[in-house]
Amino acid sequence: MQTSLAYPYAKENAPAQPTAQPYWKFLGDETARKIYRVLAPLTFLVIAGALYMAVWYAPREATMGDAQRIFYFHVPSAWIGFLAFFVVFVAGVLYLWKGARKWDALALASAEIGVMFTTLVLLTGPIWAKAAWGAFWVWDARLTTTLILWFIYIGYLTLRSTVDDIRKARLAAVLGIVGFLDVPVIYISVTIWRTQHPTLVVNEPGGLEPAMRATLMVALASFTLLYTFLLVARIRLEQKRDALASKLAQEG
Amino acid sequence: MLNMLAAYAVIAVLLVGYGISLWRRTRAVNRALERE
Repeated sequence: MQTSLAYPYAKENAPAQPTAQPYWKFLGDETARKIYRVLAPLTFLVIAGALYMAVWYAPREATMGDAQRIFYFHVPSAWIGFLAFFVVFVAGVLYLWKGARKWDALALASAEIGVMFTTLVLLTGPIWAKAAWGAFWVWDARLTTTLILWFIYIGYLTLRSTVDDIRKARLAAVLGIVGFLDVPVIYISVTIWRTQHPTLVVNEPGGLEPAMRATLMVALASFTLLYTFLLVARIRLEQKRDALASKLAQEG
Repeated sequence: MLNMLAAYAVIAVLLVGYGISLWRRTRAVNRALERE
């Protein structure tokens, strides 16, 4: 019995999809293989380059020393978390509007990856904080709002992991949309509240020096490529689950 | 230095772990599709 592998819409509530056909046409087997062939080595190379730059190319920061090098992957993790949840937001709106399963699948895929990257933020941040502030965690506005964001999307995934139907998909879409409202709050938290968390100054005088800025940009590019690669793979998993559910439904 | 290594190790473990999880789930569905 393969029901645990199938997309978990209850049969009586199943929408017009799941379908055996890929609803993201460009993510069929053949094109996906081509995408992987380009994206996988490119992502690997850029991540390797970012790692090299973060450890050997970027200068050692005067006060925090090597602990500051955590920054080069901590910030991109946060950026990808925000990007992923923005995709959940947009896909959620489109799913509620159009009702097409492809938007629901995109939102689910992006939420899972967003939670993974936000987990990275919440794990690497305290390691850096211990070196910089002497404490793993302080109930600072940015840290707290980021933790809230993580809980919101853990809730989203928990909701999706239960036996599902179309109403829960809609409810999850609403949660994904409302949850995204926390992202701008996180972004402005360091300016509207007095926080310990530093503000990222990239392009202004007194901000990051050129080698540090270049390293950050390469690291941002590497994680953006990784996000794209993982998103393609995760959407394809969802499509395959739907194809399996469709086959099982046909067999009765 | 140790802080940096610990943070990078955490990132590597989580990313590789997620990659393996995704690969295993996809493989399981592919096998089930082949059986059907």
